[in-house]
Amino acid sequence: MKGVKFVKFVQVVKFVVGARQIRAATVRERQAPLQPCRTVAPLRSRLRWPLVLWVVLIGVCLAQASDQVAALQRPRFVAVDVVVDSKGVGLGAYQLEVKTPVGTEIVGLEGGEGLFAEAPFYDPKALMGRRIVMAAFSTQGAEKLPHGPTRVARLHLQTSGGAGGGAGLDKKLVVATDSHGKTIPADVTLKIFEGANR
Amino acid sequence: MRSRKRLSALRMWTLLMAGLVLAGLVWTWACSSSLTREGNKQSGTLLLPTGDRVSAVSLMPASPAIASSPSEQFESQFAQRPSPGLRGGGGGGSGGIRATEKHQYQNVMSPPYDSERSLVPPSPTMRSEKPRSSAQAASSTLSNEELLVIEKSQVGAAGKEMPIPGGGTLAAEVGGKMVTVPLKHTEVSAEVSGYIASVGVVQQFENPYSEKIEATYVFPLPQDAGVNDFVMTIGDRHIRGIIREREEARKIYEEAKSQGYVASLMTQERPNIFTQNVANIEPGKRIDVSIRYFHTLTYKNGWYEWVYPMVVGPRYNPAGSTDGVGAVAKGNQGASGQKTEVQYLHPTERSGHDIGLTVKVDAGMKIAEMASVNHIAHRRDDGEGGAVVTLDATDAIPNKDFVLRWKVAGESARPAMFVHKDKDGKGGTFSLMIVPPESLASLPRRPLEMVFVVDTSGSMSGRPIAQAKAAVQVALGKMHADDTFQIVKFANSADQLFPTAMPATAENVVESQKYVKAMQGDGGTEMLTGINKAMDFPRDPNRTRVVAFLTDGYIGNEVQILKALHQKLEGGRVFSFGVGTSVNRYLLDWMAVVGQGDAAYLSLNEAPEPVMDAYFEKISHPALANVKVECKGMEVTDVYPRRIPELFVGRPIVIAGRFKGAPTGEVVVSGKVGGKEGEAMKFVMSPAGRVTENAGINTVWARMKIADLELEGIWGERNVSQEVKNVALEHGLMSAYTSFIAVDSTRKTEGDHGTTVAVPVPVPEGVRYDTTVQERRTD
Repeated sequence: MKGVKFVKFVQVVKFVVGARQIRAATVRERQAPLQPCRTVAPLRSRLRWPLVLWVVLIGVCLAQASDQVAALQRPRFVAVDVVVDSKGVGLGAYQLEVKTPVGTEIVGLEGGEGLFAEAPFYDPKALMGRRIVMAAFSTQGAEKLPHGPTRVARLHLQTSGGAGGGAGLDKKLVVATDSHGKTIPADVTLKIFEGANR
Repeated sequence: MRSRKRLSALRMWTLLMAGLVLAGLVWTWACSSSLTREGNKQSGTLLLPTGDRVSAVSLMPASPAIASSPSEQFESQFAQRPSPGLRGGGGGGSGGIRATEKHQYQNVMSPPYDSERSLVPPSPTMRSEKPRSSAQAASSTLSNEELLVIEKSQVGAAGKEMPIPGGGTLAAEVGGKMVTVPLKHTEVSAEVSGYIASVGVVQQFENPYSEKIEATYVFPLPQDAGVNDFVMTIGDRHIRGIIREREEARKIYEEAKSQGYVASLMTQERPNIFTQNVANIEPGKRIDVSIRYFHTLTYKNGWYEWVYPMVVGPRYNPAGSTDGVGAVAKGNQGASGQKTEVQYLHPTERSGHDIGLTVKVDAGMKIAEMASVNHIAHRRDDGEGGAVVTLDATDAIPNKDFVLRWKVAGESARPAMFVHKDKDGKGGTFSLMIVPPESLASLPRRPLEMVFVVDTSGSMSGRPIAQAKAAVQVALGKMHADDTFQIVKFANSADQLFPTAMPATAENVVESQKYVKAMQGDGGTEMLTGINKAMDFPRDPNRTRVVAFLTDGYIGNEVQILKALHQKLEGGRVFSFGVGTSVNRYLLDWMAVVGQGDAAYLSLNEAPEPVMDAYFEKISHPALANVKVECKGMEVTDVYPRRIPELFVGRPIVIAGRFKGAPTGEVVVSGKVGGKEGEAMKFVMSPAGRVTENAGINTVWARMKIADLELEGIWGERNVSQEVKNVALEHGLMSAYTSFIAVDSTRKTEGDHGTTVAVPVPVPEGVRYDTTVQERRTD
């Protein structure tokens, strides 16, 4: 019974790889009585192709895993919203800075919402020191200015380094003013943009 | 029994391997899903989703005030323009020349992709020899095969009339096959204040295809443009580009493109040639790219001049060159083997790309006269000393430079100064226009050794060579008996009229006129051979050698030419003379700088006589040398150009520098003529009263510094690339080593990054396609 199963296994392998050597061995097995010294050699030859198959399979899997790792290490693009909360006072102008770590590059500076929809200006000199200093203002009257948390800008970033690279953005609100240019207390927060198809 | 054990071991082994594979798959899945998008919202730090560990980063100290930038944005919404065709009206000025040329266009009409565009239906051939008014010309029945009548009215016609007189008035309708291109429209809006211009350019890209594309567009800007702003607009979202080192920006762009993000990249190929790349434009979608630059105006012979180039002329590249600018037919990408390549439309084709242009001039004084050299334009007065000039919608094909000139009331130009203070109050930037003393023109004329070097290559064929020949003929008539002269022509090789410079006798002039008359445009532009021929024969010590290059400058090896010129100068002076409607002003201007001379330009729509008059006035009088600028009571640093050029009659120069502290004290400018130090000119200005909010002065200064460094690089004295890069990065400026990049990382477009589509452009007006554009690949 076990011999029949073994023959079937050989037949499956033969079907898969079409190995003539196995076929010849099977024929010899059928024609001649089974002898211990002859069972060892055919077994090796029978295992050859399964082993090759497994090696190929493992190789493919490892390659896929490697691709996945490479994809992880590939630079990624992230958008970060910059939100200023003027705490009930109309936000007329702001200046803030965001420091980027090594491995994170700023690749675009987008405007925010409402009166701050235009892309803010930045100081190129500061950019050389891995930080972006941005500012914008609105000339609208106090009643039209945003009074609560407002997205004033969006940073577009390229990050790289994969799992090994720690990355953090430091932010600091330099100044926020009302419509008369008077400094107001405000907070700035950064929030990763959640896109539709990211 | 033994075999059973082996089989059992085999099963165990296979199970183990399968387990390993499974574990690997789980691990990779786990890795990919471990990324979190939730940022840490603790005070001061946001964690980016790039890994598990977070490095602590300390807060930076409070930054100084943000560097000043132009506060105004320009509109990116433009109404659809009607098909401009190519028609013109007659100028209202007096004098000038009339030239005729026949242009033929096949009546091949493919369905335009924009239903709003309509080409005028064909009509019988129109032929007119008489000057026509613009209204007449514009209203004329137009044909696909039509005689162009170009009437050049004199620069200086009355400025308040509309349309602006002085335009090359062109009457024609271009029929032809409409070619779909991803660049739909360019809108230019400039503001001129004194001698500094701030120019905004919006390029409106749109994907007319059914698949995603990357658009590339090679376009010109003035060679002294300090580009310091770049904004990509997608719908109602505006993303300001970031200045980066060129290679870094390119890598970011390619990565974003390959991952499907919308991105744009602007790179500089030459100081006056740039490439715009916009990746992942989805079908039917529109993306605008806005740039802004500052530059200084030229002031020559009483006229301010503002130029906006619209097309890159087809360049010739010497054999073996790969760093040039190739000129190939539409769709023949890579045929030239050059690093930069421009694709040109066949004369029977037209793209839907058109241009709109508005210039707001604040001259500071009443504008006495104003003229548009190549285009039909309309002028509207805007207060005292102000005017708004708009390009006529019927002259909207971007195939020639827009040249606007104006003259202010009163006598000649006066020295001018602008001062801009830094926001931190620790210093600032100044710009100074030094005007040559009028007494220079009254100085006795000096004997000249004139060498006319005429470009007779294929790109000059037709109207350009005719204009160049006319200019030389005029110049020959202005030679004095004590002058000597020589004529050299070059194309694939160079040839000279006389073995050496000959006296300007009547016989020699007649002989030379025959030589000039026989010139024809054909072949390559081996300018090096022309330079060698013009500079290598012995110099007359009793005369001032003046080498006048008459060329369109359509070459791709500018640096090689400038280096050769520098090496062979030996005391001579080079006065370059650009002929054509879209001249390579970078080459011509820099030849003049290297050659310690000046550049002049003659459009195809201008009369050569007044241009040549001014030219000879300039070259025949001694220049003011050893110009020194002293600032008393103000600490001044970094004045550019470091070597202040000599002042010729009718040509002021602009310098710029930095100062520390407050702008106080006075600026004293002096120079000498004929060895008399400080006698010829001395004027004093107080910077305190000249403070302006125009932040463009900073950009102008930085751009002048870059140009000065690049010139030093041409001398070959040292490698200046790092310095140029630093200046450009510090001031957010485009340069050969820096680029603008903008990526929209909020959304990945679907599918592959699509096909790259180059924007084909027309050959410049007056330039022949068949002698300049490569239609097949060269191996």
